[in-house]
Amino acid sequence: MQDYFLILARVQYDYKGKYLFSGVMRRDGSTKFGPSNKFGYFPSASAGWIVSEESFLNESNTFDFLKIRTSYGILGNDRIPDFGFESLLNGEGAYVFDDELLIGTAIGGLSNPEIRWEKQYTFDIGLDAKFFDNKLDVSIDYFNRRTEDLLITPQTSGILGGSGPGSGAPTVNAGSVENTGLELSLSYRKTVSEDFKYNFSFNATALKNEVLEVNGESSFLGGGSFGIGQEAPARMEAGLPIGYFRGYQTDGVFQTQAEVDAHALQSNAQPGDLRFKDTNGDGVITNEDKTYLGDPIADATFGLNFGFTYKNFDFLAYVFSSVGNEIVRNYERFQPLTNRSTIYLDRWTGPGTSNDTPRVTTGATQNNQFSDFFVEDGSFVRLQNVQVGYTLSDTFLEDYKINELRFYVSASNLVTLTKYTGYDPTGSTGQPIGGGIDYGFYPTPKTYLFGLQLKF
Amino acid sequence: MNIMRYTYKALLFFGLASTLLLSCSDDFVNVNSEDENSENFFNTEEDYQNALIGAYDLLQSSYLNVMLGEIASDNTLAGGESATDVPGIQEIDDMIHTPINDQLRDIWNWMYAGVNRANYILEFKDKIDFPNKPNVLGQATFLRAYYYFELVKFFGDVPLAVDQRLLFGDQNTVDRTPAQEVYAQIELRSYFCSR
Repeated sequence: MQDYFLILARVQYDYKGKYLFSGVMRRDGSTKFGPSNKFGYFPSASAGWIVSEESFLNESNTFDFLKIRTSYGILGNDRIPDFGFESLLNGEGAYVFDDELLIGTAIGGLSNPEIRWEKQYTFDIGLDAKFFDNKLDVSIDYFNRRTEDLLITPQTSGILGGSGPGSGAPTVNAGSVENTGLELSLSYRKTVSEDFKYNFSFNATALKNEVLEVNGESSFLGGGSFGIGQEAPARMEAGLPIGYFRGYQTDGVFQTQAEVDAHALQSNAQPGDLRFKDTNGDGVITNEDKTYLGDPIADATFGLNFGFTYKNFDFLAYVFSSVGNEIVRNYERFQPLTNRSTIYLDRWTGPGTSNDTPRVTTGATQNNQFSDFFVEDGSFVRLQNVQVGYTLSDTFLEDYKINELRFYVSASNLVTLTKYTGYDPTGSTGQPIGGGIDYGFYPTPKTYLFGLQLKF
Repeated sequence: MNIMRYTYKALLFFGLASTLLLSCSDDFVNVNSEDENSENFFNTEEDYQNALIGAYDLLQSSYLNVMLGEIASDNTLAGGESATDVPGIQEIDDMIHTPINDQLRDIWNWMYAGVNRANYILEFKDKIDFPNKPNVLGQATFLRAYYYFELVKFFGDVPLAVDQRLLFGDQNTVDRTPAQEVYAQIELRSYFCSR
């Protein structure tokens, strides 16, 4: 159940087709916030200058079109569960008295009367240009998106009773996050002759994410899961990307007992075990030594479309690539009779055998604790889709009143190039805190499609 | 000067429209939930009895208290799917104590959920009267004492709340109460013996 109430005022102004201005003022009301926080004001403004309309560029043969534009605005977000601001009796309470199950009443999710609109401040400056008789389109953008009063549901102190059946932690405005990035898109289309036309388009986005502030009960918010009953491996913490992976940093494998003795005290450690770094230098490996091991946010993503038609043939391909994102391997089991990854063929079996892959044991070992041994580079390039078609245009078709008959073969997810040793580098829950952890998702299948299109 | 004239007209229009809309429609976003609000409860004896069932519910979660107690002893060796499952339980088995133990945190969370449900009833103990009320409040007081007994046993000094729930925001201000005072509160026989 959700209602909105929106008032919007918009002003647009265009001077001589060269200078463009616009301004929008929104007043949004949402049922999701308490009486004093229901309404938010969200202004935005933009300006553009079509430089190619100026006399000094009119004569230019280089630019067919050139526009410089900038915008700044605030947007609100209220995508949270309903009635988070008030305490409702929708929890669960049941107990057996005298062999009879009685259903009672209990408070549901904890309420936070203070929740308010999440605000996204976006600044963008960019340019659009066209060259070579409008055949080449270029567009470049720099953006800075700062999200304040981020609405999330963090772990909250148990003393409030949020762990009771049917209850849960409250939604809070718990911090701010900044995304800074560059976007580039190019597209080119050309008609070589009546028989041969081609086009390609390319886009790239580089992104840097940083958490500026976390104002919860502790300096971080945890998310995701690893192994069985281990601490949440992903965190939101000031100064680091949102949802970064936190665990032990490894420094090879202990080769001998002498190496174990020389190292900081690491419980249960034996030759063949992973050596965890004593990052705080206190001589003992504890939770405090866990550190940044990577994050699931790609440094850059790329997309490439390519297509051509030659006589009756047509061709289309789309390639997607993600670079600089880490992924956590969290689908392995460590029981005696379960299959293992092939990396264990080269495991440690004695001094000098391996400095990467630890020994295999059914006994107690710290090797299964979350460490960078389980964090891999999730970068990949994938041929998302390829399509080849052939159109028949013989005159005999006309006898059957068919205008067009096209045969095609289409394949998706045909090739993926990646160093990731798991099944699919795209496996993720997509959560902001806890994404990029591969729980053993069913991999994206390769799909082949043979088709025929008829037009009458 | 056409532009200016249009601008004035537009501003006038928006001004009028906004005033009209604002004055009659802000209520549109005041919607009531279909679920009952916790602050308007306790109007019948049945309400008290139902809330009491909710407070009893958390007794089921005390299985973990028993389990961890047994694992800490020499009687049991913690196991599971593998020898390193559930680090929190393994640590207790090995008598290693670290600030992060998900299973000890479960006990903390669940026992406090019980405390809050009992305190919810006691917070509204004066709202209505009915003959059986001392019995209901006695049960609630006992449940709170039991949950606090489990908490003080595992954690020593713990935040003590009497006849009021701990609400969002309190977690930043409430302090731990010395274990002695918690035990003293547990031993108070306010309802279930004195009447």
